[in-house]
Amino acid sequence: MLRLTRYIPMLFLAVSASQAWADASPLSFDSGLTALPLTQIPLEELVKMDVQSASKIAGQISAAPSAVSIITADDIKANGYHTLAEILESMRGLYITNDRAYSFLGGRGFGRPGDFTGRIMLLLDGTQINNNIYSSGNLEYVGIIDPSLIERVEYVSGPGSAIYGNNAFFGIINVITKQGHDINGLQVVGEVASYGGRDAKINYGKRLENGAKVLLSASGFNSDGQNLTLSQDASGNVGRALNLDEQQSRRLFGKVEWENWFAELAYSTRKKDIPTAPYGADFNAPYNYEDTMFSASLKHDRWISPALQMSLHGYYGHFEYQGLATFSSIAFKERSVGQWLGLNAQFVGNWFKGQRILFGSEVRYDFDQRIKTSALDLDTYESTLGLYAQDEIKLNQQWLINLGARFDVNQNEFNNNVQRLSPRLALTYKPFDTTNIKLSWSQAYRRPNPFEKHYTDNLTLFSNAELKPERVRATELVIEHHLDRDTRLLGALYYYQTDNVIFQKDLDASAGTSQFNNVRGGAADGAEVELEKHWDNDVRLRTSVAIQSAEDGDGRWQINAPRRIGKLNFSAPFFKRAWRVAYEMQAYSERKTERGTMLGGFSLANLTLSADDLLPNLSAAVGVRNLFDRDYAHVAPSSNDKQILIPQDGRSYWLRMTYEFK
Amino acid sequence: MKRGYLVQQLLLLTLLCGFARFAFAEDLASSAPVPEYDMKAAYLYNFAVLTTWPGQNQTNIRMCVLGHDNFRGSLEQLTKKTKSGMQFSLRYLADLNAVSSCQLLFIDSSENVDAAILFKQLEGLSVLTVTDNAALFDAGVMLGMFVDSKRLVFDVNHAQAQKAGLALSSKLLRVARKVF
Repeated sequence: MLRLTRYIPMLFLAVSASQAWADASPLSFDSGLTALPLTQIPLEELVKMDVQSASKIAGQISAAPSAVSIITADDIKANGYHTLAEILESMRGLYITNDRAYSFLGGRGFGRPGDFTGRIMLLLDGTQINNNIYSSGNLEYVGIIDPSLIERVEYVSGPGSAIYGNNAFFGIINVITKQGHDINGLQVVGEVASYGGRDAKINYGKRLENGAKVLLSASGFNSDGQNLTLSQDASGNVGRALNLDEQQSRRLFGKVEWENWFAELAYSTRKKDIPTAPYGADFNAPYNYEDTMFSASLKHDRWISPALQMSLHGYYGHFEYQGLATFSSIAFKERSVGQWLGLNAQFVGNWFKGQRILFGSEVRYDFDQRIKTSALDLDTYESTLGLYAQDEIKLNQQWLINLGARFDVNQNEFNNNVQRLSPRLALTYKPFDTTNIKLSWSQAYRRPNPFEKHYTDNLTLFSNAELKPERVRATELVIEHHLDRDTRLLGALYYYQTDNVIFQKDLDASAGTSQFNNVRGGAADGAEVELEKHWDNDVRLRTSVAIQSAEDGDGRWQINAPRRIGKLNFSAPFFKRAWRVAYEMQAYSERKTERGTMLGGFSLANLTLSADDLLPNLSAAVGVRNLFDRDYAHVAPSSNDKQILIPQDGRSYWLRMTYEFK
Repeated sequence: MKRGYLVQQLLLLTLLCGFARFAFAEDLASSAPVPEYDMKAAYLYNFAVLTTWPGQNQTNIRMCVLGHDNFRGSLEQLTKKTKSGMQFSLRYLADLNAVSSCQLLFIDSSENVDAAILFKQLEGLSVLTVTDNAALFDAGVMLGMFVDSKRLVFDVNHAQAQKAGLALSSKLLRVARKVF
């Protein structure tokens, strides 16, 4: 289809403006390092200097010369998003597949339903959340962070292994939390929703006298779910799954920032009943998943010399999964535990004028990787050393080159050594103040995780310790144009090629046996266009269209990859700006299912009304999801032997009240 | 693309860059525009340095911010030790109750505060008020900062400042856009 990117000559250099150059400090979450030298300039000089007007459209923080989609706290508040999945669903070219167990992210040719790995790295304030068993980073009520604490979410499309290493395959999602004084007091939130949903949160945030910023939160969510009518066998006979859609989740969060120190703890646990009886389990019988995640992070930034900054980042992660299923009336339990510890030392050197050199090393020890079932008792570990460097060279006011690579060495229990180099090259050209054009080539890899290599039930799924890492090569062209300070137009063209894709392949279709194997990869190319506009009266619009063409290794149309994806987000204040209305629409064209049938296209709409200070210190919001009560379904994973499609929810309502103690 | 092609291209480009850096080297730092809020932080610093509060210890200035924090750390930088010997402390106000403890109050344009209530709370206090909200400045805030043709300009309501017992240095009034 759109193979244009392959023919753009190497020497067509495109320049990136202040966006990729000034803001992008992966080191510090405080970009205020420029104010200090400014205070040494007398006022009569300052008034003569040019300022870069702050646009109402958010500029990126994540370090990458790519097309970045950003959702801010204002967007989250206006639309009343409940989970990271709902947030990502509004983004350009992305879609969520929900199998009533987990939510999976798809876009730009990836997104097989049931694909735990997701192949997207999920970061919370720069700390990796993906666990070391399934490589999953959970997005719904399993998600590590409550949306009320989110300052912004940045989705950086394109391979990110050049900086982040393993698993930043198709992109990274960076969730950045609020600062203590953004809450500025105690906030109590209560919500009721359809299907017996109830949510309660307590958030506390403050900037203390000594300059320390504290943010604390505890929250819990319960939902009764629904009794569902689902296909209960391969022939399509339907049955009722009763009381099997319930879920409960609890979260705790704490963050302290003081001078150059940053400490963060995040904990979340969720238990959900599964109504679909996948993997051949008994229909309408007990089946549940319980996922728990704990993350601890400690960061310290300092200037070593006037031209050298250092950031030290130590982290610890703990993941636990427990599953219960019923097979022939017998309970089958499984449990996995993952723990990891790491230290990332990153440096930014400004020794040369016009050059910003980033380099560092990361040591990671996955010291605990266990999967226990009646058929498997896995207890293993691995360690990884990563060395990376990136040079951003500003040739002149219009041209910028970004060159980087990361080298990872991984060693596991059996002394197998895996070495990978992930390079990236990006060129940016800024023909005018208002326009920048970025062209990038990059390569990323993903090692097989313990689940892919070792999981077996000795019956249908067999292990494969010989699995090799998969690879993606990407070419992307991004054009960003500001029609005025508050109107942004973005266009992106991309071409991705994957190799050695790790895929659960049928060994013997009749016996129903399968195994993870490296298969021939496919390709995806497409185009995305997005318009974002903010008006002075605080009316906001964001709309996008994405066209993608994704093929698997055999040249066939990729499963669950709709060709056209359209998004619309509109919000406006009314009643003298006391109230706000937000309308959102998502439309998808048809897609292939796992069984070769077609799932028709559909469009969905959500509406939210919110009011700050309805009564003193009291805010409220009410919303309708699936406003037009569309009957729609998502593609079921291949592990769902009984369903081809998973029916999704009809029109549902929610009401949220927030009380602030200041 | 063939396997080794990317590596060759990277090498070629590195050589090209190395040459280009010397060929194109310019003084790049001076012409880069300053982010709006970093400049506003610098102005707040200067306003504090060029103001004399009645009878008070000049070296400890408490800066209070009312409204959404758009500074993202540049105000924080001011609280570090400065050469001039002035010490700044920073406080984000949730409401106007604690405003009497402030020497300087910055009201962000995002804040929907009622002007009448604001001035009632400030009555009798010697608080230097600054805002980037045009309507609030017109209502009587002492200093207003606005972006005009790529420059950050400021207007001074000198009468209000004098009423509160604050003396503004001529160095400040000289470079203001409007003084009344």
